[in-house]
Amino acid sequence: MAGLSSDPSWSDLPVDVLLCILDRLELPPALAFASVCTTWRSTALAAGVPCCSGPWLMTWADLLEEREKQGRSSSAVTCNFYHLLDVDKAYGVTFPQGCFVACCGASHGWLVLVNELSNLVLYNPFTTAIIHLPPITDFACVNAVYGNEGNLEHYLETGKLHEITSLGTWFYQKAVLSCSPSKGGDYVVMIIHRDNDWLSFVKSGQSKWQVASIIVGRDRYADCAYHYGRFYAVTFHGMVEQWDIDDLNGATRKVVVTAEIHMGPILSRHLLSTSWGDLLQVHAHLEVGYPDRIRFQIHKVSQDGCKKLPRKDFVDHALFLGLNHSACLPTKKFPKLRAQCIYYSAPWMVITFEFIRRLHHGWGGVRT
Amino acid sequence: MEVDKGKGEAEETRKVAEADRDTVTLKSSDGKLFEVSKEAAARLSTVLAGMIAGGSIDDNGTDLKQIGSEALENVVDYCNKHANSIPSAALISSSISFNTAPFKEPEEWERKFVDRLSHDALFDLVEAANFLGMERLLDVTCHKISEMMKGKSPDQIREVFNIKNDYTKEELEEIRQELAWAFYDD
Repeated sequence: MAGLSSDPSWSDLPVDVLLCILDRLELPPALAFASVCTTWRSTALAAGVPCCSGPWLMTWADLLEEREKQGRSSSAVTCNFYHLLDVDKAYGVTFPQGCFVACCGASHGWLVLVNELSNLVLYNPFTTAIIHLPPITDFACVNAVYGNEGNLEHYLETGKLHEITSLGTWFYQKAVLSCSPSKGGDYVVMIIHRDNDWLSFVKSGQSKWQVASIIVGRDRYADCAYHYGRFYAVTFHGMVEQWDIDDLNGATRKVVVTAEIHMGPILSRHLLSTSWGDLLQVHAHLEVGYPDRIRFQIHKVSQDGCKKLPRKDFVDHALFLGLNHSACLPTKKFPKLRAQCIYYSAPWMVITFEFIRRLHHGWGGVRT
Repeated sequence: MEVDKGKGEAEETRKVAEADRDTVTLKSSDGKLFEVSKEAAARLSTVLAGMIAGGSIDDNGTDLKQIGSEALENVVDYCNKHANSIPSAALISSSISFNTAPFKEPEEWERKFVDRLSHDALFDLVEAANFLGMERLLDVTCHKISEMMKGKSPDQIREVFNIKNDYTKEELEEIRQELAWAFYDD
């Protein structure tokens, strides 16, 4: 050991100490730590910090259990993040107090969270920047109920009283961002909400949610995505809508693919924007003869309907299907991902949920 | 402490006297002497515990050549503050494993203790804690250091700790691209 008091250099700390520090770091600073200098980097790599980029799996199941045990609590919460290449290691990410009840979207490094007032916020776990979106009371179906002292007590949603915190846990299903808010550019947030029936959006700088569409009948929205300047939404029955959002006309809808009758229960539908310009629609359904009895079908959405995607088109890509975000990633850029694989985090659509729960417990993993 | 009956009487008396003392004297690299509670030193530092048990404690000041006086003063201060504190079993934190180790949050006074330190003093203290095998103090100092990294980009961490960026231009570009999504928002 060198003389301790003379010219200390933090990069030369003993490895044991560096590991001890690393051990205390949550995910964002652990990644930062890993790129500070060569010694710190090699320590982090040896400790298994995944320095390559790649999707992170976020879970708050423990949190839900804890919340149930403790009743309502208002404190900073920590979620676990798992890297797909090393799923045994959980990294913590702590959210500021009151801003995390659930997560319903992940775009461009930002998370779309439901806060304790059942409002949506955009949160960047790396820069810790936070943007509040317009409140839930914007929607005509939700009214605030105030107590005698003017304090917010409940929400009234279509005739039913709800706890302030609990409404948000089922009110929002999915959110997607058109671009990263950190560039200071104009972004649009589109959400599927209210039992998958409603499609709404808000633009940066605007103070009001605008409802784009309310589905009537038995169909519902399953997923939405942003693809080359437009939003797209797919329904449980496979209808694909294209949405243009501009200043003059608000939102303009165009049906690109019409609904189809599908035999057997569909587990989930996803829309994925690809780097080569295609919009993909993937659906998972139960079929005997496939692993876990789940069959995936990948289609290309084009102006004249859906076509089966030839395998050669995604030969060097991996697909990620998740509740909050789905993506098609080039394996060249993410060398540790397996090409032509589907990474599935076992999401399901509401109507099939009960049915599935009786059939299976826990899915997930890689599928070719 | 058990007395070795095979040794001479004088030796025995000396050992008993030493065992009766409830402090030990430690000497820093620059020759300064510090008194520390023997019980706390043995409880908090595996190295000092070994020295006390092995009888290699010098009444005139046990030489700790690797530790400067400022850091040793902090070590001693920490031990003495701990002297009448919680038993060690509650403080044991298990080995390295990511965020799963049951790390007991620093107590209020421990937090204050490390908060008042300059960066250099903190650096010296963490090295001293590591050298003396003081697991709890290492936990507390590392906790403080990890807090200093919260919400910071690699560039900002380098600035805080005055760490030289020793990557080649190519390596740096590679890392920037790797982490662009998180810290640089391309």
